[in-house]
Amino acid sequence: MSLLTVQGLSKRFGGLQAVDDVSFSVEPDEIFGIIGPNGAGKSTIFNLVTANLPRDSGQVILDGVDVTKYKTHQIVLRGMGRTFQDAKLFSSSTVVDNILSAGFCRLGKNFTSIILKSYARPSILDREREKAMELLAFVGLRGYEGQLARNLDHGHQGLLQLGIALATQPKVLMLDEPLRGMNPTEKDGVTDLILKIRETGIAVVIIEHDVRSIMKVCDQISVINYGKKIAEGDPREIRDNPAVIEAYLGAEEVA
Amino acid sequence: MVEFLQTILNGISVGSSYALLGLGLTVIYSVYRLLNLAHAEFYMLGGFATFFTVSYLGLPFWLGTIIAMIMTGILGVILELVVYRQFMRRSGFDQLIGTIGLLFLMENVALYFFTSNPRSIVSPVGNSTVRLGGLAISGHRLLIIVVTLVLVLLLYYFNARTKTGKQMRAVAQDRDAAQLMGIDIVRMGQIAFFVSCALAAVAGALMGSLMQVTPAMGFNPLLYAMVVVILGGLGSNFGAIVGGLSIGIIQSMAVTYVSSALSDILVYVLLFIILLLKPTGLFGGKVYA
Amino acid sequence: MLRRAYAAKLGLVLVLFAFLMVMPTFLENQFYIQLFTTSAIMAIAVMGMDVLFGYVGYCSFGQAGFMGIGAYTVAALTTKVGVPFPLALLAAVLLSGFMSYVISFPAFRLSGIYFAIGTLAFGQLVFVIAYNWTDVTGGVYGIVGINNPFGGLTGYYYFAFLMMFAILLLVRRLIKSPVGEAFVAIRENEKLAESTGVATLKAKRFAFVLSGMIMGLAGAMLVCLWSFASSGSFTVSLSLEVLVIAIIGGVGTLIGPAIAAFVLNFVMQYLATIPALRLIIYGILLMLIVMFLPGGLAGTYLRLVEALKARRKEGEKISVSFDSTGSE
Repeated sequence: MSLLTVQGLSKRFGGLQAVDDVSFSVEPDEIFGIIGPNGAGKSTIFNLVTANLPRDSGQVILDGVDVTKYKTHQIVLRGMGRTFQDAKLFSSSTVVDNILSAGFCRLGKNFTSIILKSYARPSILDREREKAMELLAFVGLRGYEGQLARNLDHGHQGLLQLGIALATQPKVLMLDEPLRGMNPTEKDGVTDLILKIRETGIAVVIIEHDVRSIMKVCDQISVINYGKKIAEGDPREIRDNPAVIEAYLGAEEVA
Repeated sequence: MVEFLQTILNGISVGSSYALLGLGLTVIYSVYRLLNLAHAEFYMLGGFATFFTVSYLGLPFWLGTIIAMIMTGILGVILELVVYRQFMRRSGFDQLIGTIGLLFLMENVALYFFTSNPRSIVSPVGNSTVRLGGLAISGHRLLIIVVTLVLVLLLYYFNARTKTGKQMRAVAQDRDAAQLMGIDIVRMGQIAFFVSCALAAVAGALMGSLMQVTPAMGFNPLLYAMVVVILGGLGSNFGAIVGGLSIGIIQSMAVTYVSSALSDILVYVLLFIILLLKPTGLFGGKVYA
Repeated sequence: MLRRAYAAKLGLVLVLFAFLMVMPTFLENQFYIQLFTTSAIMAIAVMGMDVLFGYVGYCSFGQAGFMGIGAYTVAALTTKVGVPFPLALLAAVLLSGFMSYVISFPAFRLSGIYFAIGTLAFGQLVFVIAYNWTDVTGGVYGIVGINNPFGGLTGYYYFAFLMMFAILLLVRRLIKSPVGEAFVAIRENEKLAESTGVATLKAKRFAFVLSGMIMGLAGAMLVCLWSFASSGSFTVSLSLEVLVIAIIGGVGTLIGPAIAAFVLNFVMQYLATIPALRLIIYGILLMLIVMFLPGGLAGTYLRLVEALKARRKEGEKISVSFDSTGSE
């Protein structure tokens, strides 16, 4: 059974059909890529899956549970972590506090139980500090714990975003353009990290523009253009697919 | 039927002053992206300035008002330089808090110097009543409508036909793009402040002669002005006018057909409802909150 | 090391507590006892404001509305129905809490400046209703003759301070807990907080209701001290004043606003011989803080402390590198 199944996702903005009947599924331990020209609707797909945007239609099944009607934070609690294109961080907090804050969801089943637990033992999150430091080391931010999130350079902010998403203990990780604005060295670091993440048993879904890097790590790729899925397959099939080449006509990335 | 039309007419008169206030707020918002809560104080100062020029210097009403407009406008520009520009370094909400501070300051400095004794400005049309068909309206209320109309037309002409007006519209649409086009946005901000404060001053002069001039006179109109700009849409001049007239008419109807107390409640409930259904208002664009 | 700092802080608080408890016996002048008492009640209100604004990041311009609800509830219940004070107080807090729960539904469809204006409308609404609902609230004249259940002023003084410390401890414990972290996460980046599993709507509602209840408590305590309740006391101006004190003290620090309530109340007694001066000073302070000192006084103090700590660390690093022989 697939870990994540997305069926018939659609969204219309005024006169524009931003996402048109998109479906895909992600297996456990799979690295799944979503590529497509600018404005094709890739980020919108993410927003629809995570319920950041209301869907016109579509079904989302995560690890056997139909989360279609769930709110964003409930989907997160079920095991879906995500990052954003514009690096969203708790900018005035330190790096380690960012990770600690993200650990909130593991404390209880719902908010009321968390309130009660918090009151009984206010320092429960502090005990997570060790785990937070381990996580920081895992993503490559060792030594940066005390720094303010907003003072990090772009590459490290991307790593912190990854750390925050990982702190929610996801089963599937949705990364929205994790390589954006990075130099080749940083990009290699992130793709290595993504492979490491897969090794820990977490499936990864990546939206990316840098097609070359995506081809290196993904097992399965879906190509989106004008909100519609125009191709799906492993990197080799995608590279040779005429429809994909045509969609990217003019872009030098597809070598 | 006559009562109904009379109510509408009264509503238009009251609504005109709301529209003026709303326009003042909107002008600054569209150029500066700031809801200037201290606007109430420029309104109040306009009233006082008119009072002093008319009563102490014996100038005719129209001249006193124009002087008040210019003086208040200049004060606005000075404050823009000294205070508001510093506010802009902070986040949007902090800016709002800053304007509250200025509001406190200005209102109470005025209270200190002018005392809370109400002042009266004699209207240039005295106590006359004008008859239109079967309806009656006080001369002064008609004056308010006429002056508002003139100012709205002037503002429209300024925005649509003059070079500066067009530049201001460009800044209102997109600050960065306007800068790249070579428009001096700092100067636009200054002009916006001048215009906004001048409009507030006129409203203060007109309403001050209708009611009375006191240091606290700005607070309640400010609340109404906020309802107006939210209804009309922040950043839309047209919206401010429509909003002002609507609120004026709604309030007038409520006073006539329900009760004066409930009319207040009605306006606030209306604000609440608008915020829930369409916070950007009837004609508002993007939300910069 | 942390133990020592904690013990020191605790010691300081205990000393302060003891001092405040003993003070009335030394103060012969009733005026000062009243001043301290109103400051304590104001501190409660300001802490209520800080929970919502400082920690969650939502600024309400209508909190005086909840104060008014609490005030009128206790006033009407004790004078007209003869309910004993503790019950009336409880009713006041619960009613304010209930009203904030109800208002939270429409209110949290807004955010930022629209939230502020929406809550402003609510606050005004409460004022207008209080002004006109003569049967219950006494209209313009308000309700008079509310009994001070503690006999004299001194009794009320102890009551106010005990409540203040109770609220302080209660709220502080919550703030230092994961729930407080959730609040701050919402303030820092609400979308991100949601994506890390924080039930943002529930958290905000919780904070709003808590804040409303605290404000209701403060309002109720105020009118029992004054022994009358009038609609003119609970206008938007009061909301803004509470907000101003919170900002000057430093939002998001809880203690800062509480201390500011005391300091400002005292300072105003001496400086603001004319009521207008009080608001002038508030206005100037507010503007200065926005322009130059974000984070208010407490925030500035914390930043100084951080800067000094950083300076000391630099100093240690340098001395270490001097001590170490050879290797870098």
